[in-house]
Order: sequence, then C-alpha cells, then structure tokens
Amino acid sequence: MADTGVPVEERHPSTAAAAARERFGWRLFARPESGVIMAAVVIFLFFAIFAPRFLSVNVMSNILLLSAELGIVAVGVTMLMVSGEFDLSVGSVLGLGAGMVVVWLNAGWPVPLAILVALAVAAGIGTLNGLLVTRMQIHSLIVTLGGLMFYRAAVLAITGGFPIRLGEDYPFLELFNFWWGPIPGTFLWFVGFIVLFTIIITSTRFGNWVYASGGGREAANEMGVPVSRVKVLCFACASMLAASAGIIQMSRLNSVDALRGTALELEAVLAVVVGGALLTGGRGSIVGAALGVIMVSMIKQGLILMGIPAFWFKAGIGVVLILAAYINHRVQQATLQ
Amino acid sequence: MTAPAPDNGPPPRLSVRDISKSFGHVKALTNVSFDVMPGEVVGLLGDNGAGKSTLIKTLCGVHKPDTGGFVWEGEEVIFESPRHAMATGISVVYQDLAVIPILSIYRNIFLGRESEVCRKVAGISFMMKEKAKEIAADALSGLGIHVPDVESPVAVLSGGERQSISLARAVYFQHQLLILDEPTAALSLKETAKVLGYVDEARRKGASVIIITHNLSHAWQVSDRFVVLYHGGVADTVRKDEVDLDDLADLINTGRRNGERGVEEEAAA
Ligand SMILES: Nc1ncnc2c1ncn2[C@@H]1O[C@H](COP(=O)(O)OP(=O)(O)OP(=O)(O)O)[C@@H](O)[C@H]1O
Ligand SMILES: [Mg+2]
Repeated sequence: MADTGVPVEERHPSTAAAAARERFGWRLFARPESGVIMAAVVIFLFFAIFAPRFLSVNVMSNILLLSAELGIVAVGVTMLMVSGEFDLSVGSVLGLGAGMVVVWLNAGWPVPLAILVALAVAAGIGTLNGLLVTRMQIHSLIVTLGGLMFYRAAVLAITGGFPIRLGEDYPFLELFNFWWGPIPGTFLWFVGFIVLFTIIITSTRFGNWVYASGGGREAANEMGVPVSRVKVLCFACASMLAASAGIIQMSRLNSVDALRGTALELEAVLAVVVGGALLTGGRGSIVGAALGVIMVSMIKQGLILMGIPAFWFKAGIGVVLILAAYINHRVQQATLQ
Repeated sequence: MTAPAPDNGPPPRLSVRDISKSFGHVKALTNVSFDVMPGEVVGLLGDNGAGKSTLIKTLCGVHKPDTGGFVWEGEEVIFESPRHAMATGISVVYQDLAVIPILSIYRNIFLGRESEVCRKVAGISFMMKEKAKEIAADALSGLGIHVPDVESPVAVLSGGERQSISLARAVYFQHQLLILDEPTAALSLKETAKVLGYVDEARRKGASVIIITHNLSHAWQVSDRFVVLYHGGVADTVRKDEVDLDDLADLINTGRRNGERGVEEEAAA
C-alpha cells in the first residue's frame, strides 16, 4: 500500500464489513499452513508438467506410501516443537520400536502384546527425555542427541546388526498393511493420527497448554499451566508416534534392519518447519507438517521420474527448508508486529 | 510487627508468616510477615529491588519460600504451584504481565482457566472456543477495554493494552485476593483511574487486594494499610491514618520514618 500521507482511518472508511474482510484476509495469511499450501501446490504443478507419469495412480499411491511413515513421526515432532522442544531421537526410536516387535514376535509373543509393550517402552523413553529436559534442565537437543546414539546402539544390539525377517505371516499385522483401492493403509493411519492430534492440539485444554508452554514458558507457568508435565507428555507422544511408525513400517516390510529410521529425525524436523512451525515454539500446525511431508515425498518421487540423480533431492530439500524458514519468519513478523 | 487482628474480628484472609527467600547469594526476602484482612486493600511499597515481586511470586507458588509459610483463612498452606494458588482464590496481575504474545487474546484470557469454558467428553477437556471468544469479548467490553478482535495475537497490542488484558483476566474471574504488581505502569491517566476503580470495586465485593506501585498518590488513594519493604525485610506496616505521604517516602527510601531507628539498626541492637 503506497503511503499517500492520508491517515489510515480516512483511507478506509471503517465499515464493519471492510474491517471483517480485512480481518479475514489477515487471518488467512496468518495461518501457519498458508506458506506450505502454496509451496505444495507449486511443486505439484511443477512435477505434473515436467515429470513424466507424475499424474498416474501408481505414482500418487507411491507418494502417499512414502509420506505415511515419515508423517506419523512428524505429527509427534510437531506437538513437541509447538511445546518448545526438539526430539532428535525419533529415528532411532522408530528403529527400536520395529526391532523390539520383530524380535518378540519371533520369540513367540502374541502380536498385540508385543506391540503394546513396545509402545509402553517408547512412552518410557519419551518420558525419560522429558524428565531430563524439565527436571535436569538439559537442553532437549542434547538429551535427544544422546538418545539418538543410545537407542540406535540398542537397535544394533537387538538385531545383531543384521536384517531380521519375521518368521511367519501374522494376520493381525494386516491391520497396518492393507490397501484401500489405490490408497495404502499406512496412509489412512497417518490421516487418523493427523485428525486425532489436530483435535487435541487445537481444541482441548491440553492443546492450549501445549501452545502456551512453547509460546511463553514463564508466563504459562505463572498462569497455572503445568508446563513441565505438558512437555513430558509431548515427549512421550513423540516417542510413541515414532515407535508406531516403526511398527507400521515393519508390518509393511515384514522385517527390520539396524539402520531403520536413520536420518528420519532431520526429515521430520524439516517437514514440520516447512509446515509453519517455529523452532522457538508456540506456533505450528499438524496439517501444515503433513503437507510438508507430502511435499518432501513429491520432490523425492518427482526427481526420480525426471531422471535426476538422487543427490539433487538433498540439495533441493535443503533449499526448500531455508526458504520455508525464511518465509515463516517473515509471516511471523508481519502478523505479530 | 504484624498488625494484630482486632479482637473478635474475622481472621485474616491471608497471613504471611516469616517468609525468607534467597536466590544464590542474593537475599531477596528476610522474615517477612504481615496480614491481609477480608475486604482490605494493602499497598505493598518499596524501592526497586526491595523484594516486592519476589514476595508475591512466593505467595502464589511461582517460588517456594526457603522458610516460613502462609495461613489462608485460618489454614496453613504452602502454595505448591500457581495453579494451586489460583484454585484457592488468588488472582494475580504479574509485573511481567504473564501474557503470551504469540497466542490470541482470548486464549491468553483463559490461560490456566480453560476449565471455565471446557466440556468434558470421555475425561478429556474440550475448550468451547466460540463460547470462550464470546466471554472474552464480553469481559473486555464490560471493563471498557476495546480490542479489534479477540482472535488477534496479543503481540499486536500496545503495552497498555496488554496490561489491560492481564488485568481484565485477573478481575473477571472469581477471586478472594487480587494481587496487582504495578498494574498501572504502562497506562494512561484515564486507564489508571479505571484500574483504581477496579480496586475499589473488588474491596466493595469483599475481596482483599495487594497492590504494588511506585506511584505513592495512587497507593494512597486506594489503600487502607501499607506494608513497606526495605532490602527484603518489612520496614514497617502502617495504617493510612498513622502516616502521611512524606513518612511513606522516608520509609521507602531509608527503611525508617524520620527520627526512628531503621530495621537494620534495630536488628543490630
Ligand atoms: N529469579 C531470580 N533469580 C535471581 N535473583 C532474583 C530473581 N528474582 C529476583 N531476584 C533478585 O531479588 C531482588 C528483589 O527483586 P524483586 O523483583 O522482588 O524486586 P521489586 O521490589 O519487585 O523491584 P521493582 O520495583 O524493580 O519491581 C533483586 O535483587 C533481584 O535481583
Ligand atoms: Mg517488581
């Protein structure tokens, strides 16, 4: 808007309708997802035009399949980042979740029991991360970097470093590994988690506490928000979702190997930030993160279809990340100042 | 040192008993005691760094006292957390306002008090957001505070407006003790008059008030009694009819009234 030297009130005759329209536009712009929606559309159109067969059912199915497991991890990482913390151990915990279940199933445990115990172990890991951060006041990057190494070592220990296959077929695991037409079941699980955690974070008291704990720890505490408890719970959610993703992936591949989930934590952080979350907490969206994940998968798939060497994927993603972080920062400044 | 409760009168709403609090080497509070009666407005005065904010943060569970404790309506308590203090009936406007700039106005208003607009389904508290927005808008306009939209982030508000939000939230919800830590620091004359009006109204409704301010004439206008902190200790507790503004200024600056021995000398004696 050009500066005409006329006071703002006179430029806009302040009718309620105009104000409402302006507010509506402002709100749309202020949504954390706004950037990633535009980016996803642009990238989709780009590959639709330039990548051969991008618009085929097979390729779309493959993108959904690629998205699901990273996406489930990203849901938890989003919650945690909104609460103001990081988790670098999710990749290792994903591997550990899968590893534990495979080993226990091969040892003859009933499937539901193996899954429940693995999830309980993951909850314990997340709780421990949370307690180390809130009680001992160690930064979550350090705590979970330690976790990344430790739980990766644990995966190596239980698998002996070799791929392990499931000894038999388990019908129960078809709960996670099925197709609904062209849509992979794992993607439906991903959608389920998106819906569940979006409701939790936007519409419950706990969700309000998550945003408050990340947006202003001190103020939230002064107003009676149990900040430490909230953060511990978010850590537990992140670890459990990571283990869930591992179990779901294991059901699809019928196996586990010692490197399962390696470097996933960084892709998750990337998707969450691209999806509009602030590293400092208090802002972020699960739907945004999900779109970030889908965007990453589209880029992976699209570049392959175009016959571009895989290393360009990393280069491209790196650029996208920095651009996204910059845009988020600007949006944040524009709406908050 | 504590003003004794009048015989047969009601018990104090709150007794502060011998509270001490240190941060590392800094002794922020030493043996602070005083009472607050129902329906009484206490002006808590003192120089910068005297320990006023530390005292109220200890009182409402942000800090744990090193020694001493509190008696709330006849029962000994230590407030374990701000949540506990809030549930007991203490409403606070913190000096730092305790608002979260990145969150919307209505979410800030219900911060920590979400239960007021929650519906429980299967043990999970769902916030009724539309109702929360309505109540927030009503609460603000009822107090004569005008914001364009309760969904905009607090970050877009001016310093004075933020202070108004913090205040509106404290006075709107049910409370027996209202604590205001420099509630008028960023406010215009008109807004300040409003705040002092709320203090009068709170007293009329039987609530007790502790108000911290560096503006002696404001303190004088609304308080029934003054507690003056000096270097972390209580320099004196005086009723309004016992002193004049000059005495208060002396107490704040030197820890004693003209011609009296100060706390430190008394302690030494
Ligand atoms: N969290 C803390 N950690 C360390 N020292 C603190 C902390 N809070 C307060 N202090 C110290 O305690 C003393 C009292 O501070 P306090 O904030 O209570 O003063 P105040 O009377 O509220 O002053 P002002 O009028 O400037 O607000 C100061 O010396 C301060 O540096
Ligand atoms: Mg202070």
